[in-house]
Amino acid sequence: MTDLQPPKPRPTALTQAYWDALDRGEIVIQRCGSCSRFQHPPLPVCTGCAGEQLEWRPVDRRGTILQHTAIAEPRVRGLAHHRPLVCVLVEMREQRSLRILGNLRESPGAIRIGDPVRMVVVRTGTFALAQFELDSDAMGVERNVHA
Amino acid sequence: MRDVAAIATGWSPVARRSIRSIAGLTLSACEAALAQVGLTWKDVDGLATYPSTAGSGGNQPGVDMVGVELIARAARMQHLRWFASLDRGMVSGSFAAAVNAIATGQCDVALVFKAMHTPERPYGEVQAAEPDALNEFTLPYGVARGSVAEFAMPYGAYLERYGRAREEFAPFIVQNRANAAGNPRAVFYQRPITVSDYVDDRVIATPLSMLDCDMPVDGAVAVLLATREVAAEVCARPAYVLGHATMGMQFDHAPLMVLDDLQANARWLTRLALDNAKVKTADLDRLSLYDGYSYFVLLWLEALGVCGVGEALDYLADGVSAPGGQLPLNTGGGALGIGRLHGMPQLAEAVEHIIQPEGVDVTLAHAGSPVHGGAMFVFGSPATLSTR
Repeated sequence: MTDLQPPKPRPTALTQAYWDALDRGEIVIQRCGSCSRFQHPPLPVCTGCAGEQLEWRPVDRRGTILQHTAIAEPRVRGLAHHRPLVCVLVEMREQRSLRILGNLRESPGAIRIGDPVRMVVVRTGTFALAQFELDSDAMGVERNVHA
Repeated sequence: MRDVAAIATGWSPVARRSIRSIAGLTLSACEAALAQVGLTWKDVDGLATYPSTAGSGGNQPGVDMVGVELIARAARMQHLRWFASLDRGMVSGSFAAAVNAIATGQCDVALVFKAMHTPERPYGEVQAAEPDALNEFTLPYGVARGSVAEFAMPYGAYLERYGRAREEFAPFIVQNRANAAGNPRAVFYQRPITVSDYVDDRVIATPLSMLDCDMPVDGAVAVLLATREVAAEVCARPAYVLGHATMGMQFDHAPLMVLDDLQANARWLTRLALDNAKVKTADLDRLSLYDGYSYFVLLWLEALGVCGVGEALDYLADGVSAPGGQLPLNTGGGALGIGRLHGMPQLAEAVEHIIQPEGVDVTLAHAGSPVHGGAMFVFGSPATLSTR
């Protein structure tokens, strides 16, 4: 999973800061200046309080797997040779409703909901992408199954 | 408000690929519905569809999709008084709009149709070098919004949360294909499968396999709606719309859909529809539940309360949902067995269960995903209507 050539995002005025931060090796997520709620993907209003003062804040980078799948034969250009392509939707530590999608960098055995993961910045040719890897330090300690 | 009835259904031949255009197939399906009750295009003053394409292809009118304009022109419907072309909620959104249009007097007889064309390129293929804004935070990770991978994740979460295995779905999948095998309209007519066909099926995105996805087809289906007055004149057993609800919406903001939202919205939509129709689950004689992805059936059954949450696989394994069972489900084979017709297999089937000579009294159709504009309709026989 080190030679991913995914489709390159075309940032908009709303999302440019997110991608610029990744380029610098930083991970920032949109947060409401009024109610301090994080949200992702970015929006021009806060879905917590309808506030319009939104800012970019670094996150702790740790979270747990909420949902996952392994795509047997990816059909997205640039990713077709990654078989399988493991995708994880991660619930970040900051806030239960902050969910971020990524690929798992290594190909471990069975992964489970609640497995702890850590966000990392990965360079893929011409741009940087946030990805996840299993947080082996936290394994067994903070496995957090949502039931 | 006027009572509204479904009085006929019409089907084109449904095939993986047809030598006819879907424009022609749509006209055939509409004319079949009209012929069933002895009406003509001149009697139709309302027209509605879900104009979406099947994706991965073009958008040429009549070839890749069929809109209301093309049908209105081809059938020379200058007398048309109302139309809807809603691109949300599958055909159910336009179906609901047509019911409301008749109820409020905007038109008297409406045809609701849906055509589908199997794209030339593989389903789910994304050639774009740059994602659009909707896919900015998913496509770089190999997930197009609405693709199998997005739908696979909540199902994986369902199986993991309730300690189930995908193999446990085999009794339903096999029974459903047996239903389709006996349905001459189905793309899988006379093509049943075995448990091992399902267990050994090719997985597309864990845990969803090929047989969990509806089959892309060329085909069209139409349902004819009318006022009570027209219905009484031309149809012995109209299927009255007792109530409906369109409320499939994902409230939580997230890059992709999440099981909790699917379950919560399925429950909410189901409650609204049953309340609007003033019926209870126990009143339902037949269920026609949307199965564009197989596991939606589990969510609908649990939302309807025919079994506990996480118990639908056991419920289906019991055979109560087979034809002749206590509460038959998708007796024609659903979208999995009939073909990918965006909600029409369910809507048409729920109507047909009532309008046939030995028809039942109360049916329920659901179409669409719980978080993509899904809608639910309850139909009742004339006897049901007269007791209200």
